[in-house]
Amino acid sequence: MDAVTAMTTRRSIRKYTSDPVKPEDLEAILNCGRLAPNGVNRQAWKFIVATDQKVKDAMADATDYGKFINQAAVVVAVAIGPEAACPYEDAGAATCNMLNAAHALGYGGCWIGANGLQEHPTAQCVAKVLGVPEDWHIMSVFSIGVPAETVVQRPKKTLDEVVAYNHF
Amino acid sequence: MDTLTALRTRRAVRKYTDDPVKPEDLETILDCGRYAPCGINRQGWRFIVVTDPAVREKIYEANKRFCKFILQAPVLVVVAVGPDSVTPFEDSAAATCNMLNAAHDLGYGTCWLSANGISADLPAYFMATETGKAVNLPEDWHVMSVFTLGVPAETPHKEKKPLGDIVSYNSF
Repeated sequence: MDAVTAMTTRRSIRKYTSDPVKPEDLEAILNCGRLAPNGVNRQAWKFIVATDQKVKDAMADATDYGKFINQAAVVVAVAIGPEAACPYEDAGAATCNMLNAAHALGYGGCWIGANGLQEHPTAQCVAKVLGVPEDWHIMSVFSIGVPAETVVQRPKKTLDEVVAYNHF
Repeated sequence: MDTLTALRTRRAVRKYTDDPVKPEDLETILDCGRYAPCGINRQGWRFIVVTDPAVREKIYEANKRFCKFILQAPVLVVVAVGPDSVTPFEDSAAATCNMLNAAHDLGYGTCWLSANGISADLPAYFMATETGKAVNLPEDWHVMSVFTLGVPAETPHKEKKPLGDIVSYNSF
């Protein structure tokens, strides 16, 4: 799938089959996270991949809106360390790259907000579940699985509504 | 370009040719921003495309310590988020990341300039607030990223950590 098609057809997927994510596909997805833009190329991130059902259950339980994520083959948490120059941006970029890569490979997932630097309770709880050190922060959580649903595109604003030229 | 190839080969570009960004390509790039993931589909964002040299000069003044190449890029895009956004950090990063990837896919180069209009304790706050003034941003909106866009005049290489250094399974 070409990149623009992938990015414009990716949707949040909340229902999954019981099929696994192939190891080579998971590696390709994580690799796209590894090569995401990040401030000063610090790469102060860790992608914690939950495949153990008990861990996935605990992570799902930690969320308000992501109770379904333990049904996915894999749940990934992005942790950002103290060396990151742009922690928010780094985490968002890595997550976005991995979601797009997953979609391009035929998988689907859902991004669950978990902003540890903003002291989001989900982030703090997931950090405990995963044994994240105090000076690192969970900054996003997302599921990856084989989709068991086809999601209709949610209403999107037109380009004119979101683009302006030279001033707001 | 195949998606994985695009995502894997994108690098920050800081040198540009004099060639313009084609309007249809700019539209495709912005569209990929429009389709980026965002919390509760609020889409509380605005992508402000800067082509006016006077506006670009003001943004350059705010950031020239780090990014002198701003003046060489034919286009700047300012990503701002408004009060409707429930996940402003995530939304702006996702939109920016999508647009950088789309630009690369179409043969352009970009560089993401840090600008965080929410976190007053971070250095990027100044860049964000000054850029906001340059584009007449309302008070309840925040600039959350700026990126340069143009035809690349360089092919940068960057050292990247191996996957094994940054991935772990089931615990940190």
